[in-house]
Amino acid sequence: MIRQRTAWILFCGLTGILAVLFFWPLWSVIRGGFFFEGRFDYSYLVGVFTNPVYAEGLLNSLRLAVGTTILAILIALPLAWLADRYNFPGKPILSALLLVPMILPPFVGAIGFQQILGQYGALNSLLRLGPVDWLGRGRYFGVIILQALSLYPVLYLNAAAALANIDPAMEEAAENLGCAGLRKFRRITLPLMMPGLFAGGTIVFIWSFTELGTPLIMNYTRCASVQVYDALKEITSVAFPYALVFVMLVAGFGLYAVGKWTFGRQAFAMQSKAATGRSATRLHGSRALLVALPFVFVIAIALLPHLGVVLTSFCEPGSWYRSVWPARFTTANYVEALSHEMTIAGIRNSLLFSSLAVLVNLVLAIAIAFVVVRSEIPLRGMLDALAMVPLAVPGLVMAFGYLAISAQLSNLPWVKDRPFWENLLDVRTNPTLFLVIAYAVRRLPYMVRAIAAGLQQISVVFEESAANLGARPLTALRRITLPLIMANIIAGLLLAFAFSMLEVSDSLMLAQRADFYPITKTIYELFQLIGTGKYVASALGVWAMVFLAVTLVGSGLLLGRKLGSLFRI
Amino acid sequence: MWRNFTALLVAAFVIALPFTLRQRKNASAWKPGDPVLVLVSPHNKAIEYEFGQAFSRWHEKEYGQPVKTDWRSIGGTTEIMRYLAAQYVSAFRAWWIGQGKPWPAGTGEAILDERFASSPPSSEIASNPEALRQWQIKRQAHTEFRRVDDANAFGAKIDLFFGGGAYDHEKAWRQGLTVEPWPPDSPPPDTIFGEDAGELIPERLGGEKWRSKTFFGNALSTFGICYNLDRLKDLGIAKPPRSWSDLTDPRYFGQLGVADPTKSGSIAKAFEMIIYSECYRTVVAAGYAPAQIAEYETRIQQAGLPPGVMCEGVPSAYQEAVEQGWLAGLNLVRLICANARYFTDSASKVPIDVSMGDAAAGIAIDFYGRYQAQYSCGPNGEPRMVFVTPVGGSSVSADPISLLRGAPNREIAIRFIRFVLSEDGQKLWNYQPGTPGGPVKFALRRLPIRRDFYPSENPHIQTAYERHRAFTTDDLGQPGVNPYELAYSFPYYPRWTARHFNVQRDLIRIMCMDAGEELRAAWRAIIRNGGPQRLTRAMQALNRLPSQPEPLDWRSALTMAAPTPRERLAYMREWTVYFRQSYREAREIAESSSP
Repeated sequence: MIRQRTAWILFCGLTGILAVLFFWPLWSVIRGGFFFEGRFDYSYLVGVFTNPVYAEGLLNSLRLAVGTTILAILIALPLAWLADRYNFPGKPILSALLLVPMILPPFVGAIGFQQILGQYGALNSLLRLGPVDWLGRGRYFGVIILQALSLYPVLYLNAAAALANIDPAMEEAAENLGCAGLRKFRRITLPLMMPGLFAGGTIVFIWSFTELGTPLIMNYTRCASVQVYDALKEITSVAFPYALVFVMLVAGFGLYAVGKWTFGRQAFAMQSKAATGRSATRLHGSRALLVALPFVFVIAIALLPHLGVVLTSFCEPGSWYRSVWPARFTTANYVEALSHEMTIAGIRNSLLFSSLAVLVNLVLAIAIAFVVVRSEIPLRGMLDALAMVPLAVPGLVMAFGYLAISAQLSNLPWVKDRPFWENLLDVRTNPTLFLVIAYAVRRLPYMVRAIAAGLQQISVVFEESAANLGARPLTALRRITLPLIMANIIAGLLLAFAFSMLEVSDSLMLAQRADFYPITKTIYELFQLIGTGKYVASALGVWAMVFLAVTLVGSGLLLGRKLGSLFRI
Repeated sequence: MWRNFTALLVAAFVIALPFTLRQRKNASAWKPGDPVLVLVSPHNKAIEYEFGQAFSRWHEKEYGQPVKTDWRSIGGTTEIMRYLAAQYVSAFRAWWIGQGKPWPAGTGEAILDERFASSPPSSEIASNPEALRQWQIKRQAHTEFRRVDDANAFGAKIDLFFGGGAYDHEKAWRQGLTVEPWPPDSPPPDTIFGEDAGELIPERLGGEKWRSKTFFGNALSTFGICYNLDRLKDLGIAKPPRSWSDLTDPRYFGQLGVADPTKSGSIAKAFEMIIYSECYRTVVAAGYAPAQIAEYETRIQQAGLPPGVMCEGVPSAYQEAVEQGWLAGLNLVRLICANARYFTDSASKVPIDVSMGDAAAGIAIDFYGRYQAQYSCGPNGEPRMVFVTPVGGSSVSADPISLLRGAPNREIAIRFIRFVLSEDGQKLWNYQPGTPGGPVKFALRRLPIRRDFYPSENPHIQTAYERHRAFTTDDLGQPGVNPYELAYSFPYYPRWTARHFNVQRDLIRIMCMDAGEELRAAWRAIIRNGGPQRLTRAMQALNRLPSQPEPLDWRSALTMAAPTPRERLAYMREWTVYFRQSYREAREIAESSSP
């Protein structure tokens, strides 16, 4: 455990950092929902609850979040368990492919869905069903299914890391005492992996509570995220959406607190790390096929939109229509997308912004997780929840917030017309600092949850032993704790990096000059080209997907066998 | 080992690909020290590229120096408007405080509020000395904000706002963000007026404002209907949609892509025109000939009486027909929306979806519709999608350009406006790539605004049109394309619907979008249980309009044209409850009268 005084210093410092990097920009925007002509006014807030459409929207968002989380758990948990217990031919590639759904590029992802599930899409053509309207019917369940299929990797990664941390001796002891099979899973494995499951579950829950893209694809408009988006984009400037954002924020905070109180407290730390490792059972033949089948099934469904994007990227304009695949293929879309002068800059910028953001994330997340898990100060739960709320705020709102802060700072007398400060603080001159902050803050929850879950599973005894043997706290952290939770750190890093590379709202608004466009904004700009836009943007989207996949595989190579053994995948 | 090597090879290939394919930048004549122009725009990269290149060449020819155009992209027009407002408030605040002046709460909102200067302080403020003092400071700030136009004082560090809709540019002017580039009565030659051709850019046409003293329309667009030929066949619709009312056909249920009127001033205007066209149809159906309507409207305008009060010689039945037409227009919009699959703020979504067959038909902007129709042809060039301008009218709106207050490169910015309005600039909108004076790389396929790109009885204009015709991508003289013909064929009387603009937008939002689920459920029940002709009681419930805060009709809607935010919040809540209730009732009636 960390000392009370150190914990308080860290707590104050971290709360201060979150206040400056997250709550200040947020407040600079949502205060508009509480002040009218300079005076406090709560009528907008009341309006959220008295207008039945908005009250219903909040309830629907909650229902979507519950449904998505349950379905994502049902998909991810069995797969993580199978990957942990069995070795079979093709497992490494299947395990890697399981993560690919989370790297669907923005804007063109919707095109991928339409090409596959549209009335004249590939599915209807393949099954000769006629123009069945998959995207127009059962919108509520449609949103849940699509969200679960894109978010289960978050749960899978966290669950895999949690399973990797379980000391096999615990399960062996249970078996020796006659507790086997499902009972062992329910009584021993599940409680031991609960921190990881909770970490993934809360992220999926809050994410789907505020998710915008999928409800928009499915035209499901009566949910809070779409209502905020619609109101923010309205031509009349109204304060109402800010009150709604505040309600979503409080709801996200509250739901997390309730979840933590209900599920998150069941953390059982283990006295030894699974360093020796339970050897996974090696399967061959039909048994291996049987275990691989669920992986293949989930991947095949979850990657359908990706397949749609890939085929669109190779498609001659207008040649994929009422057919299973395009009638004519071309590489011209790739030539146009990759030869564009924005593309190279976009790649460079995305890499720079995302890498810096992940670094910031890592430092903040380790500090937060330590205060939350390894201290006993009374307000640690609050810090935990505060680190989660960036997930509950729409990206567009945060982007407006960062713009407002940059505008304030860039007009300060000591900033104006001084190149160094303008480059740092004025997004019109150089948005790097604000983009890195925006990416880092909005991706912080993944890292905090992953690391906190790791710490919860690892007994404090290891750190105390190191301290008893004379190691200073930072040495114990570097030499003992971090290596023990490396699987969780890597899980958090992968999620934070991948989602930073695919960040949309902040990128669209903060990167205003072509020199600073990240790859997502480049895709957006190409998508705007009339006629060929969707094909060219799909080509760059596919390149981004492949690049991210290569990055993930590359990090695996860099870590050699460690990654596999850390996750046992 | 081999696995690692292969993986590294793949990684190297992926990373090297964009570097290998990278195009060399055209050697630019621009060098540091030459002029720079900063523009904020919702236009796409093709437009930015062509206008940037062409303006630099033009400037070098005219003034001896190339210009670097620095384009700022901040999303759509709504985001640009919010961004500009925030930038100006922030910059002005710093400048104001820097002079040692106080900044009471609410000053930011006050300086942007056009009405603040003209409205006296409320009695509550007037009776409180401190509140009155603060109010006076705000008024002083308001006046000063609109007086100063100096980049050294404050500004957004941006010169021009290029693109978006007239609604947004008008709003930017009302907020004090834009300024006049030249005295209104002496524009540069060959921009708004030609030497021989007369007025080249009208101030207004067909109900739309095309230019003002601060903003200048430079490209035109209309809204029309696009439809997928195969989907229509699937739905058993033999006659393709030709008018707005065709889109109320129950067979389109769940199959229409509709542009969202709450997120774009141009689309809101297009919806106003749908209501207006129904209004016009109703008045004509009531027995008033176009000439008679024109005469009555002239008399009404000259009399200057309050709205709805008829002057001598104009029968009250005429006004009743206008009011009936307005209600019929609202119901027409409601039924189109009842068939809607979605409402979108993305200009490209509707034509893309229709071309893919994911929507049977939709409301789209002309150039998106035509472009997509061309790109979605079958292997032998057979059309899959068609774009038509509806019979009975559509608005023709302009995409303007405005000079921003405190522009750091004011002179260059004014030259850019001149270029955009000149014949050279206008050619870029529709000339084929590679033609003399045309774009270099991209066919932009927009409609230029200048009169001399379209056929005319004026010989000078006709000569110019003939000259351009050989190089344009579209046949600009073709009926259905020529925006002047469309605008002239559409007599517009602003009295009928223009003052209802805001309340119409709120009404459409609530009755069609906020209560959209209930509307669609009711409409589906009506269709399934015998249709609108049979279920008259259900249709009555569906078509009801709210009675709170007062019975809503043409006259009462006028009193709600400029509500305070609190009033708006209240009536929107009441209307939401009302419409949901009415639609549920309509659904119940329909379901209880199943055939």
